[in-house]
Amino acid sequence: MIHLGLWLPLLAGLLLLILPGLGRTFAVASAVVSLVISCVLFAGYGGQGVAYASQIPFLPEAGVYYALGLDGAGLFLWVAVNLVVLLGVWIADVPVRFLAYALMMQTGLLGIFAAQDLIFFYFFFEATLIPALLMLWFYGGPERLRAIYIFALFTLVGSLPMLAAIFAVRFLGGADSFLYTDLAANPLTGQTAALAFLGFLVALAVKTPLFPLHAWLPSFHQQNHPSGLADAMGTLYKVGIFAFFKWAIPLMPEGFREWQGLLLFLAAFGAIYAAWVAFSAPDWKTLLAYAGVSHMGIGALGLFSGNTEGTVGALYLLGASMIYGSAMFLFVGLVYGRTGSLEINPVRGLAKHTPALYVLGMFLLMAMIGLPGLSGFPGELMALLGAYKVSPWLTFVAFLAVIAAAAYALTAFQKLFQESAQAQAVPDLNAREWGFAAVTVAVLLLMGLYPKLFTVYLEPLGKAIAALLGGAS
Amino acid sequence: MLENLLLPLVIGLPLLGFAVLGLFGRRIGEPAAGWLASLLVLGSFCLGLVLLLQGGARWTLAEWLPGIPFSLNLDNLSGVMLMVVTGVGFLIHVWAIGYMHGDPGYSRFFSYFNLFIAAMLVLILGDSLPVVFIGWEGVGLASYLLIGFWYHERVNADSARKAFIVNRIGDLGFLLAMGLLWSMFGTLSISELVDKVEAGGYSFTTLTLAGFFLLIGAIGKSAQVPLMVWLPDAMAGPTPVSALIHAATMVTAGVYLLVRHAFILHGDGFLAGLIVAIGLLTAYYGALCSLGQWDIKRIVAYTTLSQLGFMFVAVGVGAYWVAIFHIVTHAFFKALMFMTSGSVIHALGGEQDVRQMGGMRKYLPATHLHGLVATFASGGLVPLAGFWSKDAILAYAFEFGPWLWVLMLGASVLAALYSIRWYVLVFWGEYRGKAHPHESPAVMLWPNHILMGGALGVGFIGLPYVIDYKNFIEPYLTKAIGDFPHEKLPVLTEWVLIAISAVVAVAALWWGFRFFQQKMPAWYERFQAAALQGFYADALYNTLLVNPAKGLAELLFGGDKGLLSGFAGLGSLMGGLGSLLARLETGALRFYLAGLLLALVLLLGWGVLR
Amino acid sequence: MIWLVASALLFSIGAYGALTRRTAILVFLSIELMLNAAALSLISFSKLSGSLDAQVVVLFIIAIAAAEVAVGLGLIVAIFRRRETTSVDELRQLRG
Repeated sequence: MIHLGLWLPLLAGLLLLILPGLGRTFAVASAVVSLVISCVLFAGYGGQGVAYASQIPFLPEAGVYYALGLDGAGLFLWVAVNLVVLLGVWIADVPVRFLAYALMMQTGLLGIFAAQDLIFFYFFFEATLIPALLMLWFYGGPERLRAIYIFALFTLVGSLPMLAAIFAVRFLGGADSFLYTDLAANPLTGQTAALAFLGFLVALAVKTPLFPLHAWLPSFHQQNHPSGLADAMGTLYKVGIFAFFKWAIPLMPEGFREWQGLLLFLAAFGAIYAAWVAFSAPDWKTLLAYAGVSHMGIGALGLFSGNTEGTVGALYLLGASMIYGSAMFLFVGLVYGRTGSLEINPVRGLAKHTPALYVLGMFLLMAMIGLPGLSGFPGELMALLGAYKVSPWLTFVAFLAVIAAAAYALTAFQKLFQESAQAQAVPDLNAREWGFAAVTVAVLLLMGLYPKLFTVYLEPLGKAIAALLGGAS
Repeated sequence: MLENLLLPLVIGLPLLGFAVLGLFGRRIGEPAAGWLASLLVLGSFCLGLVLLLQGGARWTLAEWLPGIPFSLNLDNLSGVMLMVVTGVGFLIHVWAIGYMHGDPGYSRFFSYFNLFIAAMLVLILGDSLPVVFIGWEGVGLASYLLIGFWYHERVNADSARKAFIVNRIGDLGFLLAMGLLWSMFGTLSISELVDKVEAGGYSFTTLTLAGFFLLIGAIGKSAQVPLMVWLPDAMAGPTPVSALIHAATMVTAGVYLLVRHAFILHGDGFLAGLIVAIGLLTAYYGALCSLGQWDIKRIVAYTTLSQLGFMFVAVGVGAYWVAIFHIVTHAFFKALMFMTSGSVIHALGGEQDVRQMGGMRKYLPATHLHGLVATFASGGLVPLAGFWSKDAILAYAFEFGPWLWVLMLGASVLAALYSIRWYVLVFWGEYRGKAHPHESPAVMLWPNHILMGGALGVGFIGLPYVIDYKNFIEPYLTKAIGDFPHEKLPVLTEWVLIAISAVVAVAALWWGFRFFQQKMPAWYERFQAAALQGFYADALYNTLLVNPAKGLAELLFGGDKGLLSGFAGLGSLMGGLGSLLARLETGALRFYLAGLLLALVLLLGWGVLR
Repeated sequence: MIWLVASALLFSIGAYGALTRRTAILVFLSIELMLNAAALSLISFSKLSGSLDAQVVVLFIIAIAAAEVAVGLGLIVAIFRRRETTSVDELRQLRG
């Protein structure tokens, strides 16, 4: 089941590349099957440990195993990824090949969350880049070459220290294989751990994204296809928090402690900094890019607190922001389909003709700025509770972002939907878009009103991290 | 089991109204949508009343978030608030059926209105701080939506946005309070916090900080100085919104929050002083600003500020039940004042400038009566509602310090003045406008009749102890707030205080009645010009905070691009270094050879000398 | 010992020649001198230590050097045919 869930999107994507005639229906069907599989896996999870584990020797001499398995966080993120991909291929107005790349990317993302072997984790972590680059290459904007250049450089250069650190973790730690269980049983210590953690840090900071290594993100989003599908996939690709949680911290707890102060600072500073910058963003995609950096800063702050609440909050916020962040990009794609522009200025006053789009946007926006009752809030709250225990001042700094978020989000929203009486007459949601809106809003509400559904799976993981790091420190 | 579900149902009814009207409102149409919304609120009211008479209720969903339950608690305190919110809320809903008649967004309006009631109920009933926070931000959202109800006008949209952002500053305080309390006690459930605070074993300074954070939240929501700037602008919304949200209920949420956490605040000299100072400042600021306004709704908005200041002072001096008592009386007379204003605006076809009003007592007899009662209640005339609650605040202020009593007496003189100014400008003199005033329909009159009854009589639930009459509300509320014993004033002192404040109120009302009918003297004109601008608070904030923040945003945005070029620069640096090294590649064989030999000599030398 | 000094002298002469001559042939010749100086020093060390191993190695060196000279000269001839010169200062294709 887990293998099928992992590889099905890739197969479907390849098939779609060969036979584009299958069309969107096929892509949607594949995404639906994926989502159903992940939901079944989610429902069947016992609540403890790594489930659905399977392990096949790949290069046993080198200690590499094709090992998959899902813990609570992995399952949660699987559901999130599959849901977003479904929404994306359902709604985005793009060529069929584009959908194929998105599906192929889906496999990479699922693999990141399911890999139980560090080499395979690295493989998926890097392989996901390829479809992302292809989407940007084939369907990007006029300055996409520069964006590709920046994106690829940041991710590839960032990953090399991680590769070095991966070998360090195995061989200096004395593990027999690259399996998670093996590595976690032989954590690095002392100076070595600090150095190896730095290797992971560089790679994961790019993908979190953590200030100042977020610099690739704005141009990536600006140049991607206006439909927002590629941006949604890019949002899913922000797996840094997960990787910190799953690999970097458990394998090198001592190394993490060496860097904890710096990490907390970067996360907190990034949160307020990006939110502030977002206020001046000239177009929606830039705005959302910075908003994402800001949210991930808050999530990272929670994770780096190293306690139960913070970890649960970070993971919850990660999953929630994957959904609302991606949906926001897709929503902006809908706006682009109507107005042909993503600029925030001038005033457009769309609400008059598109009340349903307005309501959808309002829901997404409010989820994004962490309104309680919608999906952004539980994660932010838990991250706050965790972070406050560790560093009240940094928490204060980071959560200034809730004020800034209201400012940038509502200002842009007002220009898009309000203010003007003589608006462009554009069509409101059609049937397909209604489906997108209904599912999105339902998920936002579910995650906001009944977080327990997911947090029960996340809580044991948070406790494990807290125990590993020795309580509240 | 069924009984347990009744409490969530109190919230569920208006929430249902929000969903149904939001989805199908257009098909339901006018006036069914309005009646549906009103009846749902009435349902909440009845349900809440039944539960309250049964002695309260609790409902808990354990482990909503790890370690945090989703719990609701209907006790005496939240019960009183519930009665006010749903009771007054229902009346304003009904009134709005008439007021919003013919608006293209009719059903949308009632959908938002129900959302507000639902959120407010969550705020009131929540027993776990995150749950309170859901309501807290929920009312903020509803307020945002309703202020910007006519969002196609830029100024309305701007006001809504401003209200939301300023409120968020307060929300940050609330969030930090949660963080702090969680790190101190490991729980966010209010009823558990009460026990833990009582048990002790923590640093009192830290608890003061927690109280301070809560206070910031309350300041934002209750529009106290220095976060008061959003409330006058909030008048951009339709009048029922101003009456319900920005007078009767939501703005009192900050006071409610503080009273709910009396166990944290009580006995803390620093916080008490701070709250009193803020309340006093706001009471005076609001009163003085109100005296300079021309927009009928802004006049009333600033009077609300002033009255909220009174409530804060009450909290500061430890008179928690009085603060709630004042919320109750204020809800009646201020809602009445707003809806009277609304009826006048309605009668004049949307005119809001009091300079275009006057003489309304001839055209709108019933509304005039409402206005008169509202004025007297708000001005503190014996024995209307406002007098008793204001007098209780004064008595407690006297206990706190006679100087405070003097200052508060001054503030209540101003309260009498602004009330009578509003009354005189609207109802006396000759009509100065050109419209044809017409009395409101019954659907708008009847709610006002009931509110008028409240403004007349609701004060009798909390008479001072010297009058030989049972004070109903004090023992009722202290059961929930906690009993903080204090020395009662001697009977004689109390009587003297009552007499002074009664006489002063009458004198101020009478003087104001005469004064505001004359032509204004020059000093008043000058004062008015400054007061009209809210003493330039907005301009000050824009210069000191908003514009620098925006400028910094531009700067940072440029800087962030620079960051990318910085990384690009790092790349070029490497490239430059490379090309520098490439210069060594001369291609001259003998140069290479010389290099080899040189290296050989150096290596040998190193080996020998080592 | 004297053989070591001779070897060092030979090497220095070779190095000097390689640095100062411009014709590829002469540079090549000088390099051969240096190579043989190295072989010479190997033999003297072998004599000092009383082991014959190094002499075997030197035999190998001589054999390989012969092959190398053939290849090297062949290269130089090929270059001369193409470029009409063997001056190492004019042959700067290695320049980056």
